[in-house]
Amino acid sequence: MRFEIKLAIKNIKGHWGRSAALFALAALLACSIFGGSIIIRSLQNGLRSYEKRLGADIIVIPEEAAGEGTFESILLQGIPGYFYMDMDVLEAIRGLEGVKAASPQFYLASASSGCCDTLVQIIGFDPDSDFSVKPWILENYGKMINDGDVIVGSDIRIPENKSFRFYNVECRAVAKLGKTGTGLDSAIYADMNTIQRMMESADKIGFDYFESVEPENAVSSVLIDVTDGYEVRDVARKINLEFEGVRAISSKDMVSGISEGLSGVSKVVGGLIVFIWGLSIAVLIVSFNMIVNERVGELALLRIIGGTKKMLAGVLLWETIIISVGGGLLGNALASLVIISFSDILRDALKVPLLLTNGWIIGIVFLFSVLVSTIVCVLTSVIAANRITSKDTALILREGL
Amino acid sequence: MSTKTKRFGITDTILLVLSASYYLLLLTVFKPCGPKEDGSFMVCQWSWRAVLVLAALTLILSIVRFVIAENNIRLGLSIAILSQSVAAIFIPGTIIPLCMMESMRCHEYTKQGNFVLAILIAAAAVVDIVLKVKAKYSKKK
Repeated sequence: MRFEIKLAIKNIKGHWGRSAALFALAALLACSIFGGSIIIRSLQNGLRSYEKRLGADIIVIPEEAAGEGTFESILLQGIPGYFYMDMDVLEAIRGLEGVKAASPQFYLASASSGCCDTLVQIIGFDPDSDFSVKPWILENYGKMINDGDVIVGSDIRIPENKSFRFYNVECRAVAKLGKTGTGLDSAIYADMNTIQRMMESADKIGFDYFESVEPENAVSSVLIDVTDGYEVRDVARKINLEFEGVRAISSKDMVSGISEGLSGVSKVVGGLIVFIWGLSIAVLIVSFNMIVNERVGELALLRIIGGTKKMLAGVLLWETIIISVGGGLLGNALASLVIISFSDILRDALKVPLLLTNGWIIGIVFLFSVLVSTIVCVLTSVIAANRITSKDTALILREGL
Repeated sequence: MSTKTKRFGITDTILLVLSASYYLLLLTVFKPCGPKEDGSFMVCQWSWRAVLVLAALTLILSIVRFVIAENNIRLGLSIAILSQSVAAIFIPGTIIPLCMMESMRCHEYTKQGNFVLAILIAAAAVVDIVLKVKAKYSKKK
């Protein structure tokens, strides 16, 4: 091992208090850039996944569900809910100009005894007309589900006997969907026949979900695919004008609403990173200068016994590299442990879709942030090293720096 | 031959602080859902209770090793803390099942909080064991 490295390691061990403080600063620098970047990327990832999972240009829901925010609560936070309108709306929408395809969805909240000690959102779809859920099912299951089969979101564990029972209707779990980072991860998907049996059974048992709508004629939402060449917002506006008691929302508007919220979160995270970096760089510059001032006698003595200016600079640089790489690795390890473990809590707190970015990107950002924090630490120590090597040794010993 | 080392060192303090945080956080922030309306508990309650007992034992061992000066006993206690932390990592969800939905409190708080703190305690115990073994052999030389 080179003499400079050996001496640097001995110096670090000999002054562990000082080294620990610099180590902590390097850890903070790396951790802030790593943590901030992963959170921002995961929020963007979540938004993309949410947009993909919506899968329709326009969503039509009962007006009161839009006003109370029930629909967004189901999609974003996974809070089970239900709302219904008459099936006639579906047929009327299908006849509108600019509507290429329209497909119904049915929402039902499970009774707590159904499967999971808590309420679960059950979403029904029509396999013949659906264009929103089917691609996800085909991707994960490879074929369409049969009557009585259900597909569960990524947050629901499939029991060993693969059986669920909702409102006295026995269902078989056949597959699990991939994670989306939205409330849909804790939903269960069934075809139209299965969910209508559940709805009728719920009505018979005495669950008053349907109010004035007959369960066999009830639909929760209509998903619309707009014909090419038509403006999505124009079609939505037309539906809002022509139909009473319903609200047509373009999925772009839903996503852009969340996107605006996300840009606010990203700005706060970005601002915090800049603040931490500014503070840390200032503290590092002051610290390295103070350390060099404190060690002026030791460094001058090394010069007297034959150490070259290059060697002194080498010792200081190696000390900085060892401390900043070690601190960066530790800081990032802690940040990844906390962020990966508590990402779901963060998603619930922010009430936005959050899907952790993949392992490769996490690995690259991990190494990049260690590299950047090391470069910053080395640059700040170079300023201090330059002060000690640019002056005459005798002058330093007599007058100090 | 018995050897005595410096008490209240940095790893002793880190282990004590982490063990105390582990126990207190499990009792408060990382607690799973309470009883259901009928007074019965969900399955995650048993997993949490098992982890809580291990956390209490870890805290007791950390306090004991904080006040004892004998190096070999402290080394043994660190090995015990490491073993308990590793066992605690596998209790929620693997040895004792949790609730069926991963969006529930026991998955998001109890399991993850237990994982993070048990990993940190295990890492601190490993560092302490390595330092103590190293010190023991360097004294022999």
